[in-house]
Amino acid sequence: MSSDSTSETVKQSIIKQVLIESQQANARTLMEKIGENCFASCVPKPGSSLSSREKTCVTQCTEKYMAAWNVVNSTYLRRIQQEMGNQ
Amino acid sequence: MDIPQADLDLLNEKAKTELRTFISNETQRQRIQGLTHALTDSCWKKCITSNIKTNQLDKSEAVCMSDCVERFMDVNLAIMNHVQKLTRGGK
Repeated sequence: MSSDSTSETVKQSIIKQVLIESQQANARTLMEKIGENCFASCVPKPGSSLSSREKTCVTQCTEKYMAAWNVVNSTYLRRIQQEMGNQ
Repeated sequence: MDIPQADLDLLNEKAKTELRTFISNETQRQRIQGLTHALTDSCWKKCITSNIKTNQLDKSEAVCMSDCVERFMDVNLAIMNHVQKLTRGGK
């Protein structure tokens, strides 16, 4: 019995660790992509410093990119489900 | 990620099976998320072409992003079908 509960504890800790690492990887990728795309969108011609207009653009762009990510994710999931239903 | 072998040895067969299922689901979820990242990147470049003035997608941008995903999937399907035809027919 006690070996069963040890097994369960180890299992839960592995699951937790995997979930944490996958969330971290996801957040890291999202940050990288936001960085690339919002830099391109907001700072077409880098000056000697970031202007207040560029800073505002970056914060708006960050939120907008996340909204875009959500649209893509839900469209993609819907499409996958639809295609699985067709098989 | 490092899990000590000593910990893994403590897992019983039932837990191992459950972990395999979890890992396989998680792998699939990661694959979907990975493609969402790639698609958001690619569709953003196609759809968000005007200056950013708000923190939201406007209606036409949202439609464009969604259409972009759908057309990407259409293209994937068309490629798969064509490659299947090529490999089956030999031409």
